Amino acid sequence: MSSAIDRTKVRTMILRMVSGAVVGAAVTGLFLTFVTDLPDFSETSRLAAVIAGLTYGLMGLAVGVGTLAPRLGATFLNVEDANEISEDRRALGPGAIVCLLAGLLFLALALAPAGDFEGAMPRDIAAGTVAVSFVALVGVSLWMRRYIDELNRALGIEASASAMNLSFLLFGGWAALAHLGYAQWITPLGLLSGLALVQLAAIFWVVGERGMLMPR
Amino acid sequence: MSRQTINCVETDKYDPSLPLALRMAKLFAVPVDQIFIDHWKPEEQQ
Repeated sequence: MSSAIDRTKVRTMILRMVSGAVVGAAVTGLFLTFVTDLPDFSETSRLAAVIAGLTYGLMGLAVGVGTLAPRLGATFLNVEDANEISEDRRALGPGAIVCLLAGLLFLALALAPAGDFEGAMPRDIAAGTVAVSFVALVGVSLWMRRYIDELNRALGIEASASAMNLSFLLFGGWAALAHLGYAQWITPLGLLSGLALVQLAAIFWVVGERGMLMPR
Repeated sequence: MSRQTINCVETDKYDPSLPLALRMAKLFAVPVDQIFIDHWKPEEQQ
């Protein structure tokens, strides 16, 4: 009985992960096709910024919609029922805003002119968007701290520590190779997007390691 | 404390901090070791 339940849970978890990956890939493809078809847009660091921006943005959108419509949210968020979303809305709401702001920040950076890239957004507007998103992101993050409970604080600390180690290994190793002339150093946008993606990977790793990706 | 946290403590996915464990014991009016079972024994007692 219990193994049957576990199999169902594993199937649901895999289905959710595959759905998330398909939606993410489809939105990234649509973004790259319709929002901008400028030359050089597929440059690796800009592509990484688009992926980071859309991933954070879609996560924010999913959590935001789920928080505003708990019954709907209970169908795709990993919660017991709609009431749980209502109970946690003071933490989920700001969390969604933070993700949306991070998404906006990375998309503005990706669309801004840099080097030979003419950009799909004027530099001043991109800079303003980045500045406003950054300040708001820091403000909302600090404000939501009072609504975060012990488990989520512990997960955040653990994920940040893992992300720091992984970033040091990945970008530190890369920097060492670049210093020695064995590799080319990445652009500032590539580094920033890489750090955001490593942080995201660390969060999923820490949550998954505790078995918390499994449907409840 | 969120329902997710309670669920994680119940399913052994998260060990709460000492202050939280003490508060939970106080809430249920039982000693901490009645809520959190630990089978570890010092070497001389094994």
